[in-house]
Amino acid sequence: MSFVDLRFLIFLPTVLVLHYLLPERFRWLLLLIASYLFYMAWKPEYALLLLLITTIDFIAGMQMENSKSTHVRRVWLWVSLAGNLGILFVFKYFNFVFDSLQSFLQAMHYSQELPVLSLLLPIGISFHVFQSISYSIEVYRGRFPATRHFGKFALYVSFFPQLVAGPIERPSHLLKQIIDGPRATLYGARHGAKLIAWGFFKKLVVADNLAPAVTAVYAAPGRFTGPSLMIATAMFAYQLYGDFSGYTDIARGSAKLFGYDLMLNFDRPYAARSVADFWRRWHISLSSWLRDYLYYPLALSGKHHSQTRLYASLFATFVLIGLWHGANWTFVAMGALFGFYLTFASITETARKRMTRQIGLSAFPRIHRSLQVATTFILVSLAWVFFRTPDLHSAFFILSHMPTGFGDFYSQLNSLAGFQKVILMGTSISTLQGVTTGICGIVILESVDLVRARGIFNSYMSIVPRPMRFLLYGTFVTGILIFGQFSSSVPFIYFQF
Amino acid sequence: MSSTEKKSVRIFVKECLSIALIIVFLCEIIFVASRDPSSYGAATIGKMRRLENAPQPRLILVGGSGIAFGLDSNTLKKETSLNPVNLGLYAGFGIDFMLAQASSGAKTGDLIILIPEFDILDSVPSATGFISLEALQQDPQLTPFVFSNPKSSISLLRQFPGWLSTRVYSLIGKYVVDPIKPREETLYRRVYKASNFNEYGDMVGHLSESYLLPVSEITATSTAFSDIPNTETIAHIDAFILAEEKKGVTVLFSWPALPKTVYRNNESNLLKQEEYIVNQLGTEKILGRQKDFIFDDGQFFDSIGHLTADGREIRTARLAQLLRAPLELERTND
Repeated sequence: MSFVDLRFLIFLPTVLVLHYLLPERFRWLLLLIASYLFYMAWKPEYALLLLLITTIDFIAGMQMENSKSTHVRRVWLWVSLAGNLGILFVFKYFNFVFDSLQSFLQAMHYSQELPVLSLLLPIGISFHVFQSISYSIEVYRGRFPATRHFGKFALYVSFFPQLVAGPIERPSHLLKQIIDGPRATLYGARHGAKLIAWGFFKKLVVADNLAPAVTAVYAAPGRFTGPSLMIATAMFAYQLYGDFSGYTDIARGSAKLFGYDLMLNFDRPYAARSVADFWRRWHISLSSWLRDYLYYPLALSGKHHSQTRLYASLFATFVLIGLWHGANWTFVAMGALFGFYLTFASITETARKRMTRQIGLSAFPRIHRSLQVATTFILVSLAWVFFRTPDLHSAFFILSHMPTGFGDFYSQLNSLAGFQKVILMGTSISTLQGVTTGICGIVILESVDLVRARGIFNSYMSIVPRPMRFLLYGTFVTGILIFGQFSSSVPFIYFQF
Repeated sequence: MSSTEKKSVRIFVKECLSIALIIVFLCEIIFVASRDPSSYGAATIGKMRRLENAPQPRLILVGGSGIAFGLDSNTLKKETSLNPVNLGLYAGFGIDFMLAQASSGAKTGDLIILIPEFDILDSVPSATGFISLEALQQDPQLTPFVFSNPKSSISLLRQFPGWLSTRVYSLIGKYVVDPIKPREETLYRRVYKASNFNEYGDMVGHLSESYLLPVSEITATSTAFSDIPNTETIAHIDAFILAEEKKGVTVLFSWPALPKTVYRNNESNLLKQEEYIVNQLGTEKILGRQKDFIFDDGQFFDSIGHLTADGREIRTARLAQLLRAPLELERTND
């Protein structure tokens, strides 16, 4: 069941009403049942997989908690990691690894048929596996006591608002709330409802309106020249942001209605001034997860902390971020490109600062900042090409053709047909409406985010009289109904991970 | 629930309802502002009025746009001495809408002829497409028919945002774009409007048009028919016939018009459909055979269901001829 499915609009209020009708001590049980029903709407048998992951980590946690021996604790941590990552490998990476191996063997003129598994990827598996692993690691490190309540732990792993696409929660944040009991407040519920509406706006108005034009270009990039490829790539950057952050907002908003607080996953990522800054603002729950559980152990364990080791750890972490997204070389390439950006930026940091001073750019902080933001956006968008394309060949085709076709660009913009061909990729009138709406949506999205980031949104809204405020909210939701792409809504992109 | 929680929930629910009311109000404004009494969908108003007021005995024609474009009620009136009410407007309403609408106005002594398009016979009984919402916008009296099928209600609820969006874009077109660059008069705009329906509910706007459906389009639709119609749809028709006959209304079923090429390419499947329908409804309830309503490819206007003036004349004559026997029988029984 997707958040943009009519069924969810019935499911959420129903669970919400039942939740508040039940005595507090039974509410976790209702949420657990609802979460499993929510997950079973896709493929009921995969609920067993969820239960298996939960059981492995619950037992591992208990065993680690009960043992004083580091060795025993480590064994149970490995049991948990092997169980979780084994499941992830079988369902997500098995065919990729064996396909790649087979291609390699064929290239070496060695013909050997390797096994292929025909398994459907359980929706959101990478998210709940990582969330469950974080529990085992935290218990192993002694930072969080193992819970003895299987049901509440099962709710932590399966909590429906964030089950299929995050944010990837930590036990110290979500499990603690589940154990202590949620804190539902009127303020929280209002905030939750606003987040849900804002999430729908991002998904239906921004992402889904841009999607047809992006698809038109990426389905046949050979038909388009450089400017169209660039525009489509920039639009994809916002499609991806609207889609994923929209999902996250709906997830956080839904959780807030039940009194739970989920972590922030996006913080104006395209306002980042460097790629490192971007990853502090984009999919924060994943980047911080990998930072804490992979990068730090890789870079800081042992006695020798050389720069080379730091760079290698950074690069490896980003390759894994790429691979986390999907079992495809395009994702590996995307991760490697981000890893390269960051390593290169780190190596050249002093030289770049010196150059900025020498050319006098540091005297114009606004211009400097704008240039940094624009450069970061371009670099990130180029990496997204690997995210969007089905194979490396298409990705390199698009990247290599981006600088072409500028000769006709300006002359084409003089006519409506030319404008439609270049800017709207020659697509239909409905796509024209979609692109226009999507671009207006981007402007609204960035403006509201900017106002919110400066902290003046709430203070401004508080001085607006209540009826006026309600009228604004009502108009906003009506706007979503009108300008949202409901008839051809695209499934959430991150559901595939 | 603690008393604080109760209070918070109450306030929150009130606030949500207030915002929901504002949304409904804004939608209503769009609904009313974009209402266009000259639109094709608005023809339902005249059809409903005729269904309520036409004197008895009446001949109520039920189907999609095929009967709006392809029957001449004037001739039928002369041939049968019944007062025709042509309810045909759009196949996408679904059979349940059509049956509910006909049933609401049919009275003892009326004769209903069901002529659903093959699209309708092949589809689920619920409504599809925006036009149901458009018709509802023009004539709120249609509400019970539009929502006569629970599946229609869900389908229309899903389509509501998309439809609302078309209304807003049409308003933008009307008040912003048109004053700057008036739209060209197209065939569609010229023909598809409420004022092109005559007093009986027949579409007459296309009769003077010379446009003919291109052969390529006729050929393109040659593989669209399945061998068995939608069983649920046929069951609903069967139930309707029984229910209406209890009211003293006679119900007969007849076949839609189809171009020769399409029929030839689908003959075996269409014959199986015919056999199934005849078995389900009974031979005595069926007027003629499919073959009686097959026309030359050049007798179709803008779709394979819409006949030209020539085609319409021939079809009306055939239907009138087929009606003679059952009408004679009825008069003898009376």
